[in-house]
Amino acid sequence: MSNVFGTLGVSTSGMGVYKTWLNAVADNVANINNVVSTDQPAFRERFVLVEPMVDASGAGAGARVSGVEFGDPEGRVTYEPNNALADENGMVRRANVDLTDQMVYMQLAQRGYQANVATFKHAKTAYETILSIGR
Amino acid sequence: MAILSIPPISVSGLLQAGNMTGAAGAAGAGAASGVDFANSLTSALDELAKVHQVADDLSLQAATGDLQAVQDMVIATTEAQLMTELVVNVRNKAVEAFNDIMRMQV
Amino acid sequence: MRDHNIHGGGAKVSISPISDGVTNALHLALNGLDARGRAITANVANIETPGYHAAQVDFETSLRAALARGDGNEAQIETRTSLAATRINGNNVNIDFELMAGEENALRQQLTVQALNAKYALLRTAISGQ
Repeated sequence: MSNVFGTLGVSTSGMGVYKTWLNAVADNVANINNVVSTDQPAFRERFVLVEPMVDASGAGAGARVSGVEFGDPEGRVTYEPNNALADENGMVRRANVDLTDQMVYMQLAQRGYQANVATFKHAKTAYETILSIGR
Repeated sequence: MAILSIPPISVSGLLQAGNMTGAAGAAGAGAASGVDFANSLTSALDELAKVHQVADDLSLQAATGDLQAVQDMVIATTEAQLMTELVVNVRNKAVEAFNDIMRMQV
Repeated sequence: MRDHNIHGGGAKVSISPISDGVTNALHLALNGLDARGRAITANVANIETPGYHAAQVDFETSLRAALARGDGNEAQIETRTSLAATRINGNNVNIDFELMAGEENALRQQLTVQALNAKYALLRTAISGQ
């Protein structure tokens, strides 16, 4: 994207970050009931890492996803002797994802996304105002 | 409020001056009305400069964020625009009248 | 704290014979508002970024001082880091404040553009004589 209407890119970077976060939360929730046998690693919760970006002049230029952290492969080992995947002690390995945490993250990510949509609209209005100079 | 410092007589005074030359021209009477018109035009230009100054001051306040009331600036700039159009129109009419007189067959 | 000139290297905003102190000041204000709008947008983009501190832009102080000096052609845009208390993740962006500041900034910009357009309309009237 060109740099002429750069503020649009700044808010778009924010939208991208929160969309990635929402995707991660959705993935975590989708896998929340995953069960594996105890000799396999559990589903690992996704944590999105975010960092601020700066432009050449040192001014803020948005945010970007800098990486992903994964949760504990240990998961939660629970006693479910009737489960088809249970080992000889009746234990299975479940994903260690807390639904309440995920709901909170989802709210934060959604609010962040909406706030960035709002600043995108501001930036667009601002550029339209500038384009009306001299009319 | 700065906008109130614009003398309210400015517009009506100028319109009177415009009518006066018309009436004077029709009556064929001379010098006194001419002086009136010149005075009116000069004072109108003075007032125009004042109105522009008020609009400029308020525009600068808008630039620095010190503007107390948005309507002050919007009204002042609009009045400056209208006042300028009025003066320009009266001037155009005066030039037109002058040209009419110059073309008159004696 | 970062300082940078509105027009890099202290250049004056305009050298055209059409512009005057007022149009230049309005131009500088638009530059400042643009920088502030961008800072607000960046703050909102980083609303949940751990350790991020909100940026705040001030150009009014410098512009006011320049106008008081009678030199309305140059002003500095100063970007500061907010000293507000941080949340548990080390971030101190206040979403309510940023969205309000964004709205105000947009209106300030419209006001400034309107003042600029009024100046240009006057010039146009004077030039065309209509």
